[in-house]
Amino acid sequence: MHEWALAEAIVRAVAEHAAKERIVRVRRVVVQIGQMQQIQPKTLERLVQEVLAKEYPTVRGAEFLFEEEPAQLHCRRCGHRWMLADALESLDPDAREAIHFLPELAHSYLRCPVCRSPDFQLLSGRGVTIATIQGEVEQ
Amino acid sequence: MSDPRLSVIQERLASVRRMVGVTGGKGGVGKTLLATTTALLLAREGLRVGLFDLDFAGPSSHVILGIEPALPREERGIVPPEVDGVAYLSIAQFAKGSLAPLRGEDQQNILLELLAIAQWGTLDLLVFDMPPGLSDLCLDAFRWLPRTEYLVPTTASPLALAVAERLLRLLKEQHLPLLGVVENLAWRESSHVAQLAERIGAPFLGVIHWDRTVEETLGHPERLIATPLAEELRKTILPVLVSR
Ligand SMILES: Nc1ncnc2c1ncn2[C@@H]1O[C@H](COP(=O)(O)OP(=O)(O)O)[C@@H](O)[C@H]1O
Ligand SMILES: [Mg+2]
Ligand SMILES: [Zn+2]
Repeated sequence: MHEWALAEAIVRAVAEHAAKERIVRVRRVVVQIGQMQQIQPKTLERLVQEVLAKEYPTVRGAEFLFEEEPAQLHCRRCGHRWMLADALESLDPDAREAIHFLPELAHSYLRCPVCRSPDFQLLSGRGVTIATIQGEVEQ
Repeated sequence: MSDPRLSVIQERLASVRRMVGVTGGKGGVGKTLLATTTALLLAREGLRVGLFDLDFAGPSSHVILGIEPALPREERGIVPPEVDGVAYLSIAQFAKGSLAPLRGEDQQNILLELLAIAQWGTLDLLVFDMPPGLSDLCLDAFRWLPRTEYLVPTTASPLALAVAERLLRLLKEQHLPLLGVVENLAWRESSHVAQLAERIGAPFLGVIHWDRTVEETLGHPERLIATPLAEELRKTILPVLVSR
């Protein structure tokens, strides 16, 4: 599971943020998962708990919410904007796997539906980001 | 909100003792060949070595290694496979010969993602084969890989020297560790590279000659490390990497 590495990154980022903002107990974290990276929220949730079991006392016990973020693309050549929708489903498993590791490889396997250019921009829905961290601040 | 990947980069590289970036500005001065051959030679010296091809727009070190790139194994991230004793990572392992052109921001994301997920483990030395030019990727290496020590190959051509000088001045000004300058692809006596090094105040490591035998060994590491070029690398570059 390469997602373990990303789960650890999330937990560390939350712990760092908490330390900086003097949060003694993190209550709630919202994580967004970009559609392009094809990560299962359930998988990430399980791995976040696995990482938390060892360390990070300020973060343990927090509620983690995982939201899927749709991928929106924009063609730099012709200006077309479109949603990824189910475009990944028609790709072969190796291509999907490559995009799962590195969403930028979408340029190698997808094209603008209007002009066939690989020069498109991912406006949203790339990968894993933290949207919200809430907790109790030291008195 | 900050990017969670940034929080884990230093952790991933915590057991890497030294990092060496082979950079030099101009394309075609031998960065990839020297970085790859150096990694192979260091592995034979008994060091635990990694090679990370950072030329995401034009990866080529896999051609020198002679491998059929395949997706890396997953274990708490991805594990760079061992190629001839070298832990090896390249975008080519993910893109199988059909790599599309990538914008700077995409390359930046790829660097960050690979730094966040690659499990290098314990290494004595991690070698970066850097892309040509002073681009986004160079600047990202400066901020995300601050421990990197730089090796700068250049030819004696005024065209290569101009680019190398700009890079060397930047490294100096930013107080980034500079291992030294090597003259590569030498085919006649010249003191231009040595003079440049002196002017900048950088160590001059020596001369690597144009080796007419090297081209046919590309793709065959065992033969590559038996070339006159490899012998000259043992005398110029290896001492600064093995000694400390
Ligand atoms: N000392 C040398 N002798 C012979 N060929 C060399 C030498 N150094 C580099 N080359 C060749 O020159 C070409 C450019 O080298 P490369 O390593 O790709 O440069 P860069 O990575 O700086 O763009 C390659 O074909 C390489 O094999
Ligand atoms: Mg190169
Ligand atoms: Zn288009």
